[in-house]
Amino acid sequence: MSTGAGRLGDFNAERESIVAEVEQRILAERRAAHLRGGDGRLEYVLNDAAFHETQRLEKGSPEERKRAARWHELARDLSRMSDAEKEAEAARLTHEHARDVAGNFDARVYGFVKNILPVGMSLLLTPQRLREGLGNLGELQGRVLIEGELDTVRALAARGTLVVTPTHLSNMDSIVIGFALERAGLPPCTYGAGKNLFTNPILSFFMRNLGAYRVDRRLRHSLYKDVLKEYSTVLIERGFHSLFFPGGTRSRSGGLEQKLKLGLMGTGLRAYENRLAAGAQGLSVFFVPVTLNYHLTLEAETLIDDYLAEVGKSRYIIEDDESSRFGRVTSFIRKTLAMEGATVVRFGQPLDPFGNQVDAEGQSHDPRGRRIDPELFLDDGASGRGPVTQRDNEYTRTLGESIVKAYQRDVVYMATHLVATVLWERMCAQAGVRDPFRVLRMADPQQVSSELLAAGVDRLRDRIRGANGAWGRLDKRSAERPAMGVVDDALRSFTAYHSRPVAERRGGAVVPTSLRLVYYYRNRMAHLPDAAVAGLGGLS
Amino acid sequence: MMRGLGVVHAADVGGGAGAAALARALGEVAAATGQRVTSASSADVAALPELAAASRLIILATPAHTARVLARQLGDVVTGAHLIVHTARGLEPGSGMRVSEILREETCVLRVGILAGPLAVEGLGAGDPEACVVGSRYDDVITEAKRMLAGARLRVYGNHDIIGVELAAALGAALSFGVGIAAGLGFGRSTRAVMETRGLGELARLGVKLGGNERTFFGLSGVGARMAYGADDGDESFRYGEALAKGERPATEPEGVRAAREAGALAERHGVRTPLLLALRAMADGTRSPRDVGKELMVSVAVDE
Repeated sequence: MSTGAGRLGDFNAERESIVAEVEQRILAERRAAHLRGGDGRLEYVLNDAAFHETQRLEKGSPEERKRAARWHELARDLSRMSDAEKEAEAARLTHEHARDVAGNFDARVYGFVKNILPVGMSLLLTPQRLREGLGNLGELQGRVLIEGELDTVRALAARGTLVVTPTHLSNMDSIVIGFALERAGLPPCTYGAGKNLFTNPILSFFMRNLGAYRVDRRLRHSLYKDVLKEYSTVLIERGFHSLFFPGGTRSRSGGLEQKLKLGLMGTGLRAYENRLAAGAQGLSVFFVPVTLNYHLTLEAETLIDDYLAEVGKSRYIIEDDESSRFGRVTSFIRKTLAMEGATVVRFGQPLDPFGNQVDAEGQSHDPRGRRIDPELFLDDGASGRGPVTQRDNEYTRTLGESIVKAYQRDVVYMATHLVATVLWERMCAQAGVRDPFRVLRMADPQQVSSELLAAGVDRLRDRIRGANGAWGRLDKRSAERPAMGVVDDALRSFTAYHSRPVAERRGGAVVPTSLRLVYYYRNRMAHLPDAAVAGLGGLS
Repeated sequence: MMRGLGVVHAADVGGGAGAAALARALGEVAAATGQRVTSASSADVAALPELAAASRLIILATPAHTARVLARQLGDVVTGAHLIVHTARGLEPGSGMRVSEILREETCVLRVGILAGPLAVEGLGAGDPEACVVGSRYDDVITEAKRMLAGARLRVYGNHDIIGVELAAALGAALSFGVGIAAGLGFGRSTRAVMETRGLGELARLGVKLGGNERTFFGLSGVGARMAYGADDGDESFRYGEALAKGERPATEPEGVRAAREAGALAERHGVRTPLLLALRAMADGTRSPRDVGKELMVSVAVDE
């Protein structure tokens, strides 16, 4: 019986051979690098692992400090070890990491989730259904809108391997994108999830059984990174649709990702090269940019605090945020997703591993729409079309730039983003500066009349429409409602969920009550050029 | 695909004459190192398919204002296997785009670069020892340009900072215009030196904001080009500045005046502090007089270097 799990349904049967292939490739590559000499010699690789692990574990629990001592011993013994002993140690480490990373896929859990998730979410959204029987559960589709290049993506899923690359705002994203893939008639994907998420009681069960592989961001040494990349490469090469959040972690600021982590993304190109080398014909790896757009963000308060505390640096692990509290999650879903179209998942135009747009037939096109042969990008002018590290890293950087541009085209702005942006511009004008920290320190932000706020929203909407898609798009409701209705929608959301309102109405005026959250929701539009927001703060 | 060098140049008239001369000189250098060279002018579109078939590396010798048309024509014949290096010393009028960005918009070629630095057509022709820098994110481009062009007559250096090399090449001429103004006002060599060094510092600050590397501006494409083309009465931008300082405004605007406008516009758009470049733009536009600007700059706050 088909579970609808697609290629991922075969994962468990292939798991052992995938892990073995990862180990074999890494060891072969490490052996060759060792023989070439220089920094690739195994003693340096093992010393790198020992150095990073000692640093990490020495700060930990008594048990971790014991493990640090063992790493210390290894580092000390390296100079006396024979090549065979070093190779055995590298093999042991690689094996350990590959087993730890490898995921699991349980078709029964997938089937269960596929059926229960819409029911569960619908019940959370409309609890009266419990009294009325399960009734019409199709309403969820109205809550989570799934749109964009769905036909193209579906066609490409049948032709090759998809690498889905969504924006990342919330720990809800994994569930939402999983739901969206299923609802869009797309196969499920395997994906890398931070090991810290496996400690979250709500999420870990799904993670463990739905193809997620574990990424331990605390491990910084090169051998572990090799395992992660090779694991991803083998999965894509074997046709397992994959999903990365290329921003790496949730956007702390609330803004769209501007710089992407390229390590795992580069595995798509390597998988394509390996498939060509194995004799495959045509393009077979397709990147799919996706924007996940919410009226409100579950963990907005924690994330923006983290961002403001460490601007420019991402703290990797937040152990205790809103997503780890069951009450907050259900409250969030009930109060925020209950609004029509409160979440929009938008699938962008698929891209090849070089960042070119791809049509439904799997053909790449240059920016002028001419058909091109992507295999020729691999031409090295002499020996053939094998991998070339420096060139391939640049290609992946180019792909990253194309994905960022796709995010900027496909982002969907909601009432909360529009209203927060106009409010923020107003606060900047009042403070006489644009430095966010000085604006955030304002003791007494002035209220803004509802009419002026609505006029600002109207002007902002016009500018976004006038950019013909280059500046993103408006969600259907915010595009169609009168501007004052958009203000009402935003204020309803702003007072519905967070521990204190973002902004609230007092008489005929609106008062920002949490400037940091106004800033957070405004940041969704922060990448837009100055022309998009010019003059919004000075409306009178 | 053959592994020869293709040289596509703007038509040998008007602003394209210099580009065509450079194309010829580079073609001769490559031929002297034993490379097979195929050339075509923008007026001869029919020759482009053959040129593309015979070449892996294509040099696009064009002023910035004709780059898009030429790039689009090339876009019809090139593939992802090609490498393109341009020689433009300017930004696209109106958009302010770098020519490598235009190439990325108009062709499928990803491996693009720029050839810049203190390269003089006359020097190449005379067999003087010359040097240039190829800016590209790709080792392939730098390596292939070296293979094609480097030899007894020309040293080819590489730089991965394509943004910095393009901006230094495109905007450096603004300083010739500025030095011309200083000369026209009767100021001596020390004033000109201040103009050059502070001006380059401002260009570097702007370049860093746009993603370039500060060091690039003090290498061949920045300081190197300034020392070669800089500021003497053999330079059109210098002469224009000199005339402007004396109250004249010649009819034809040289590249230094356009560069001053572009640099000022970029600095303003990206919020970079560049008082000298903004003053040059104001004088290029005629909104400020050279004498007023000179006084004003002297009383402005001098920040630490």
